[in-house]
Amino acid sequence: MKSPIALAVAVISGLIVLLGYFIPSPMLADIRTPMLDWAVILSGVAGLVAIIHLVFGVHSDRVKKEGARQWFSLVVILCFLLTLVAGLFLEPTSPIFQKVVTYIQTPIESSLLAILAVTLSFSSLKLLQRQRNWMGIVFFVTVILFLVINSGLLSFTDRIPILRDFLSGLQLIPTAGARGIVLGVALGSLATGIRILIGAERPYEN
Amino acid sequence: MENRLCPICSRQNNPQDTHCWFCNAELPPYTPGEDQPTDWLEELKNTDLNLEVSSSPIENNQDQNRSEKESEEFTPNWLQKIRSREASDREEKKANEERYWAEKRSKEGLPDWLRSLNEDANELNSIPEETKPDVEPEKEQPIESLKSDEGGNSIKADDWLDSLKTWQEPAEEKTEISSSQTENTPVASSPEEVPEDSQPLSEPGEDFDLNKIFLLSEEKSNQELSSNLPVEEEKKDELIEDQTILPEGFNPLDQLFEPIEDAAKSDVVTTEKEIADIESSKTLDSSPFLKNLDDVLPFDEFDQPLEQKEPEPKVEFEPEPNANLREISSEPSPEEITPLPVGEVKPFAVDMEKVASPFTPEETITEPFKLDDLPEWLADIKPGEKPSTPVKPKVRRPVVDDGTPMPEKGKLPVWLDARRPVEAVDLPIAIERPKPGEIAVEGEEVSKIPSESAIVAPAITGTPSELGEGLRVSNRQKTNAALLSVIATSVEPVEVSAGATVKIGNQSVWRSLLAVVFLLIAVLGGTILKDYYLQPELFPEEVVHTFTLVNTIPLDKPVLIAGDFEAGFAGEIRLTFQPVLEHMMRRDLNFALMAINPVDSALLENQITNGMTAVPSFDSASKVVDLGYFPGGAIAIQNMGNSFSNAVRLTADLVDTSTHEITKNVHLLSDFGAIVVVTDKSENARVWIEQIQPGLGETPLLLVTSAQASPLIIPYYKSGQVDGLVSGMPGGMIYQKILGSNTGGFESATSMQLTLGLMASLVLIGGFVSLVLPKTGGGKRQ
Repeated sequence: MKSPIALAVAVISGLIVLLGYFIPSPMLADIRTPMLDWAVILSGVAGLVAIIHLVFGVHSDRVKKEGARQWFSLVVILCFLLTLVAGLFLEPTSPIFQKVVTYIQTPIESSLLAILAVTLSFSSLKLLQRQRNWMGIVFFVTVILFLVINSGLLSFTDRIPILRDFLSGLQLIPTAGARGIVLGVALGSLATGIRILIGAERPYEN
Repeated sequence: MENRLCPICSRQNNPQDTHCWFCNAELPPYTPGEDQPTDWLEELKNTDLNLEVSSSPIENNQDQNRSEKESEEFTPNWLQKIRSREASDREEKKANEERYWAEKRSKEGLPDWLRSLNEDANELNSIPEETKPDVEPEKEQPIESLKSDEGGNSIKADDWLDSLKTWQEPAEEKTEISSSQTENTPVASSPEEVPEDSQPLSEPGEDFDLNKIFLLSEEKSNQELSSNLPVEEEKKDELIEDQTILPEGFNPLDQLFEPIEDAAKSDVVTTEKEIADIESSKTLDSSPFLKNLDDVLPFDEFDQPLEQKEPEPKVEFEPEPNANLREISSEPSPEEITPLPVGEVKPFAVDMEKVASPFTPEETITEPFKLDDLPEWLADIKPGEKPSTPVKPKVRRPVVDDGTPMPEKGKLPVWLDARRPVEAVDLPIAIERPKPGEIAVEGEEVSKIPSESAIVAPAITGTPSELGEGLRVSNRQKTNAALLSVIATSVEPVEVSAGATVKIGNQSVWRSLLAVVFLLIAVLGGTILKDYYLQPELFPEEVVHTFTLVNTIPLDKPVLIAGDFEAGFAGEIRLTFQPVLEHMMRRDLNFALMAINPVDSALLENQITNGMTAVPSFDSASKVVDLGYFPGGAIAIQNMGNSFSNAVRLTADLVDTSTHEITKNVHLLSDFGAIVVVTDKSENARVWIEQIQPGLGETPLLLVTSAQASPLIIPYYKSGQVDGLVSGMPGGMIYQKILGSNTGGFESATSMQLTLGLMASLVLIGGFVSLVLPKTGGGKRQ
């Protein structure tokens, strides 16, 4: 046991928050609300610390080192400083400042997703060339089927009852799979919560 | 003739020798009468005996008187007879001894007692076999019988009678030894040191018949002991006396070859006085203060030859491991004891006083003699170890360099060399080989500089492990290592062929071509073919339900719009959320914008701006409040579900939410007219569903998600945890169709549908082509 104090704080905090779900006690609410406020503040401070470390720690060191990456890091630092200065002077709600997001951030991220689409499409050409087994064939058929269904190209089938029911039944397959995934996630979250409450798992000590 | 003692190895040499025959040391110049007994133990014995008598003559006299008195009081008749017969035998043996020595002196070449020793040994070997069994049990019996005597009561009559049978023998030897000690005869060195060419022992007299003595003593002792069995204590003492006495002039064969064992077994006790001395000496030896014999006995001084008036080597006395026993056994009878002046044994007298001081004479007398009481350290001590332990000449094994190459150091595998400790690798190892003709002595270090023929171990080029721990290799690991080595040796170096380069170039070309096709289709779908997109005929239930809920949102309650999506999904989210936002704007609802992702605040603001184009009457300045970025993730959402007013205190414009026109009446999330969560990930939607929905009450929770999150959100909708769901571009198109909006916004739907169709076609074509082409690997199952 590395830190019994940390363990006690974690277990007590978890129990208080958990009891707040089941016992509508004002006293528990008065205790739980400040604790959650602390958590939110700490997360905000953690984000600030992460930004400072990323800019002045990681990329500053890369700028000092010789190599091609130093120019990328230099661009990162300059963009950060420019955005910071713009946000301080223009305020976050300024339409000019928001264009930084709408005209820079959004196109860049969308372009990355577009590149991903092209890469996945090219890789799908060799799908059965590498995975020539029954799971590969299932994956191959599923990809084709749901690409076509979600594209809306089969919307005309709504007028044909058999095909409509068939396609509706096919669309329930992912729903069924997703429900199983959700149940698994719920059980996993429950088990993790119990482990943390009893001190068997201590992510705060990492 | 007197021998010359070597000062180095303490062995006897002939008088005419100038160098020691054994160690080749130079002998001191010979002077007549100088050669004295140098056996330290003999000195110890004599000095000890003398000390015991001379250091305290009054006590000694008292002991004698007491022992005589006790013998008169307690000695039974049979014992007196035995002792009287013993005295007569002793006189007879003494006469035999004198006659023997007279004969010995008369023989030519016999003055050297060492030679006679060897002769006696040869003659004793030729003793008839019937006499040996009588001798051999004797050497095995004394200690055992003495030990059994301690118990006293447990001794059976047969046992002590058997021991009594051998009583005659030690008596004679005792007489012999005692007589020799009184005369301070020179003592031979230890039997281990007796050279092979030493002279034989003197043989007993001609009239000596050991069998007769044994038979006579056995008959008489049996007769008398059978009538005097009951006295246990006397029997105990008598057994001590009887078991180790040897006949006079008899030197047993095993004493010659196993003198150490015999010494402990040939103890002689004849009289009460001797018994008393045994008690006293035993207590001395068993004293707790006598921890180490070296501390008490001046061994160094024992090495010095004592001056004796009449050196007359009569009996070769063998050093014994238990000195005190031998001292006792060699003690002469009270009649023969002549106290020596204290000054003659000065060094030993001082030490013995120091040792014997804690004990009183009464204690030494009354305590029974118990051999087992001897401490282990004393029993283990061999008196011959300290004073003169001759060093055996080391066996010289000549090592001749005949030109044969020395064995080279084994070459270990590289991996094993790498595991060796650092010091084993870094230190150069030199194997020295003696020069030709040089003799290497075993056990001696050769401290010479390596000669030209020195072989230096080759340097090991492996990197030693810093751990320095042993390597444990299992059979399976060995097999794997062998396979790896085979593979490593069999695999040819990979050469980047021109074909591979061309193949990589072709892939880049194909990827670029595919990207160009996608761009072309997107452009064509957004321009020329924008009106040819296919609209869904059926309306999903969740979309219709969402539309219904938006229509039921009360106007006096604001709608919380929480953005939790990435900027990369802004295009899909915009097309999906735009109809829903337009619908709410048409209803002139108040909006509170909240960004869980930092970019969402700007994106939602942009969304409102775009919606105002479709609903120009909507006043965003008075109907929309930006709450800004809300950090904290799931914790912040959970905290907000508990108390909105406490979690969100300020707007993005740093206005207090409790005073803002739109949010002043909102304290809980349930105070909102509806909660609309715009997200691109199912995990974010799940957090909102699990953390917020239980406290919402009648407030509907609506989700606007990307198409990828839809499959995981549908179960929540089916379970009633989510009131409405609009997912993906098709959901937005359906909502717009339900809304009856004609504001457009779905010009890119054709591009999306064409692109998805193209991708499905590529996968299909690629799959069939892959089935035709050979497999390239990568699959785990065939």
